[in-house]
Formats: sequence, C-alpha cells, structure tokens
Amino acid sequence: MDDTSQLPRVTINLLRGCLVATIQLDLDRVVLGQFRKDLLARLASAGVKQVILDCSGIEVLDAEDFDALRRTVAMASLMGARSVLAGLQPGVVSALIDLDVDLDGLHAALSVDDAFRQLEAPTEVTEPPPDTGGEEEEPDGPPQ
Amino acid sequence: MVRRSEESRLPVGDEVELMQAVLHVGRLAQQAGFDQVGCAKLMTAVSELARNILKYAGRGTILTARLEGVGKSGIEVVAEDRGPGIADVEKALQDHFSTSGTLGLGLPGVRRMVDEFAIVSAPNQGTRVTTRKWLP
Repeated sequence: MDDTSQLPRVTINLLRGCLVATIQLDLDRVVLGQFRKDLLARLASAGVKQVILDCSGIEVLDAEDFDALRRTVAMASLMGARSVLAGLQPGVVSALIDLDVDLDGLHAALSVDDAFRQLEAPTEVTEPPPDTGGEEEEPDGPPQ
Repeated sequence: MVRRSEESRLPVGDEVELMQAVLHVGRLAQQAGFDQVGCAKLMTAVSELARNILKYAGRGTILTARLEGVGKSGIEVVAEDRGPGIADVEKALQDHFSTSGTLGLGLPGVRRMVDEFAIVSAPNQGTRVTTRKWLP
C-alpha cells in the first residue's frame, strides 16, 4: 500500500472535457487496480462525464484483464460517466471473441479521434433497453 | 513427423513470470511468421493457461517450441503443473463453467484460439495442457 508511488501507472489526461486514459502498459492486476482508484478520484474531482480508454497499446488482454477493464467501465458509469474503449487491436479483439467474454453494454471506437467524435455527437445513444432477455444466446452462468 | 526446435522451459510462479512467458511466446510466434492476430491469440492463450497455473496450482511451467512438420510449421505451448488437477475435464471444457470465482478456466477459449488442444489431468497429481497452432 505504501510503495504504490513506485509502480507504473496508467496516465490519465483531461482533454476537451473528457478523461483520456492511455493504457500502454502490459496490464497486471496491481496496475489496473491503481488505475481504477486514480480514475475514480479524477471522476469525482473533475466532474467529467466522459471517459476514453485508449487501448491501442495493449497487445494481450486475457479474460481476467478484460473483466477488470469491464468493471472499471461499470464503475465509471456509476459515477455518471460514459466510457468508450478506443483502438483495440484486431488481434486482441479476435482473442476476446474466442474467449467469449461478455461485451454487452460496451462502447468502442476505432481510435481516440473516433471516440471523441462519438462522444461529441448529439447523444442519439439510446438507453439500453431493459433486460428482457430478447437477445439471442444469452450466456448464463451456472447456478451457484 | 514433427520436428521441434527452440525449446524453452519457462517457470510460472508469479505475475512477472506469467508476463515473461506471454512475451516469450509473442516473440517466438512472430519469428515463426504468425501475423498480428495469430500472435495475439497465442499470447492470450498462454496468459490464460499461466493464470490457471497461478490460480489453482500456485506454480508450474510453460514449455514452448517451434514445430516443423510436413508442409506445415507452427508453435507448441504446453502448460503443466503439479496442482490439484481437474476433477471433471469434460466439464471444464464447457463454456462458462467455473469452480472458483466467475471466470472459469478459460479452457474453451484457449481451445478456440489454437488448432490442436489436449488436456491430461488427474486429481492431486496435476494438469498438462498441450496446444499447437499452425501457420495458416
């Protein structure tokens, strides 16, 4: 807990009213955990409503890393902010599909510029419909 | 006949070693001629396998090799540990099955990312997952 200042951190910048986090490091749990704390603090203090996660530097994202990233997005949304994953590499995307991870409710963009365009566009983003189970093939975990 | 070369044995006992194994396979895959997508899949597969080792066995080994067969070449990745083993391999290969936490073993995902996949596991003796991916 005390030596977190020495660890690599995900850089978070405020750009055009939007927090841009550049995730160029190889993710590990500690870095991601710290990033989540930093992002929360910035969201709370800056009152920002939009987050772009620049993922273009990520070469590998396994299911656990992805889940952590997902939870970060969920957390930002509880802080009232909308997140866009920008610049995921084709190989990473392809592996995520093979891993069959849950992609529901995630917004993505080809690049950071594209993400800005998405966020600046008049919000024709409709609210996600209430979960009526209308989607085909909804993976359900086994009952615990 | 498949000829092996550049065989390596990589210990996996913590996150740093996991990352080293992932990066090693990335380099090997690139040298072997895999494209970016192929490299990413191999690296992700290793990450999943190594994470299982850490999570369930505590430590283990990733073995890697270049393969040259008749008219084909590729990479072999073997993950082995002397951990608790998997009681029901069949079940572990089903999507969304997990005994710890929510994410499961990721084995169905790994199987989709490679071309050949075999698993041997015995309770209290350990697990060995053998995967091969050929150049398209």
